[in-house]
Amino acid sequence: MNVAIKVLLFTLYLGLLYSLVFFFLTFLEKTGIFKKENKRKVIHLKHYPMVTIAVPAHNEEQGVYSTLASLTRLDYPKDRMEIIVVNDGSTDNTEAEVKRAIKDFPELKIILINQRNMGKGAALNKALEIATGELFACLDADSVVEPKTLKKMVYMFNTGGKELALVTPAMKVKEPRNILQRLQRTEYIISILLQRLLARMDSIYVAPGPFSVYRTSIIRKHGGFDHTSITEDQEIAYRMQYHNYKIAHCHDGYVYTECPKNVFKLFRQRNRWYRGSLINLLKYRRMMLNKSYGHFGVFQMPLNLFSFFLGAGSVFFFVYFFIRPLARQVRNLYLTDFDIATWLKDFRFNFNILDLNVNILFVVAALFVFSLVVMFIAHRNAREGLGHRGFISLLAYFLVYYLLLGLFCCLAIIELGLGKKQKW
Amino acid sequence: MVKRESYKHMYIIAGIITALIFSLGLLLGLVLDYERLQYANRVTKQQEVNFKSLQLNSVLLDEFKSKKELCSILQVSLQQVLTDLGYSLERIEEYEKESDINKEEYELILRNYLLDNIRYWLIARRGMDMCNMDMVTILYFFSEETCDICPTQGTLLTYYKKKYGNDLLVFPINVDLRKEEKVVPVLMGIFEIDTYPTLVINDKKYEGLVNREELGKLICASFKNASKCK
Repeated sequence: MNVAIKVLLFTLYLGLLYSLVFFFLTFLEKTGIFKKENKRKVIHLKHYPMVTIAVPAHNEEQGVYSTLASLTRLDYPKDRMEIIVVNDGSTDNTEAEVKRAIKDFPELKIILINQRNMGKGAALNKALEIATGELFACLDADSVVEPKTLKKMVYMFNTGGKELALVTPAMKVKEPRNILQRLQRTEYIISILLQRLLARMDSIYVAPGPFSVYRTSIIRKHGGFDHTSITEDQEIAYRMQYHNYKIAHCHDGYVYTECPKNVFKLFRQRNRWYRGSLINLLKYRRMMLNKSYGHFGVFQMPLNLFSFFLGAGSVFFFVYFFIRPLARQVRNLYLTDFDIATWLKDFRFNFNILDLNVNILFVVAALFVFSLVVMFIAHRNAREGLGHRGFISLLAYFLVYYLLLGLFCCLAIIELGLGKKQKW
Repeated sequence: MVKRESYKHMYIIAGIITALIFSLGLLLGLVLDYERLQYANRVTKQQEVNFKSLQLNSVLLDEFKSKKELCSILQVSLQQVLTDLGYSLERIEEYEKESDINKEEYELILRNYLLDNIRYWLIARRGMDMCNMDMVTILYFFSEETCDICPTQGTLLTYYKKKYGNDLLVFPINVDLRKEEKVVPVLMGIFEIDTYPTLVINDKKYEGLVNREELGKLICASFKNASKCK
């Protein structure tokens, strides 16, 4: 290994280790608060503010009806809710499905707006224009909200002060069926813990599409959603941070969302997220390492940028440590007309314990142990079990999923560099 | 507006813990490097004993030419020693690449291995003459610094070494060590070597990359008994 590669490896390692240690210490510090929060069982609201739930829908005939059905089960007075479905130029039966829901759920005040396809940001702005609610919730048409979630989130607004602009939900994967969806389930569970920690440090940088709730007056004041952004949910969170508003996380306000079921769809989703993330980092670069933005500017934004180096670095080191030696062996076989029998002749298992690269092994072991601890805490935090195949799925998560995301990260950087455009 | 909390204390504590874990990793690396060096020195000593044993065998052959069993002992021992030498060399080259602080010591050991290869080559030549052994020796001159195609030649030699086992002896000579080890330029002078890779197959020189087919033919042509190639 030459010096440059060693420096790169140790830089990435130190960065990742430092972040993990930091989050772990923060978790320990906040444990008392979290325990107190966890004990909260029943919520009594003194005031039920009017809530507008905006559902942007583009070709969502599969899920929009069940999404609206889930709203009937919300533990919240129906006369304090209005639902605005913005049919964003769907070419399927979305409109008919919404009309069916309007007919089937008369207890809900559902308003349907049809517009030509203008993107999610524009659809949300359309709903924001006519919203009468004090609070404005966004709900993706492929997501289902748990009955108590809205009440819990409204409670946070009622008690969180006027500067609280946004409350994010605890997002879980809806009915994971295949391995890829199960891996995403693990990722979302970790994300709930991370969001909970970030909220305590005023550092949330994304308002997930499935059921983030905003204070209407604040987002109106700041121009609504950025319809030009490919990740308007990240952009609005960065903007709220930029204007020094508070963003809270409702750790037990669950919302279940559909997640990509194949690698191609996952790539499309992540490509958009990662490119959007880079664009937002660039757009709000004034906050980067800016002490007046506290932890968000000093730590979280650099960490968001570092995660791109980490993603690209993981792929590079995977190729360096695994693909390169493998390619060398394949090349050797190719040079000798794949005469495997000769190569295996007098095979001697020439292994010595000293051959193990302890530095690298230590790096991997240290990160793995930390990640495992985080994983267990995250599952407990999200009230989810690891399952009987938990350990195997954790291994798959670390060995395959991380790498896959790293690869997507590289491709997103390349595409952004090439100036390739992508619509929402 | 949100009143942002300071996390300065946490940054410092996290930094200290990270530094401790990182230092532990570095310390482990240093211990490993030391242990590897000790191992390399032990193996070098073993090689030295092996060489003395072979050298004695060779001297005995000089004295007692009629004792033909010495020939078979020589051939088997030579093969065994060269196989061990090959494996150890490969391993120590890797250790040398990964070592940050003991490079000089490793280089000394690698020079020792180079000399061992030349000494074994001489013993093999002598053995072939005296015992009429049907073996092929290949002196393989290569450079890691200036020769991109040398790894390909190395792969082909390893392949034929696997194929012909005891009947083919390959002696790699790393010409990058010619400044440190004066015997290398001497040997290069004997065979007039100025390009890499160069193979000297039973004293005949072949410059440039010898491809798989050609190398196979050259090795086969060098055996006294052509049936060895069937």
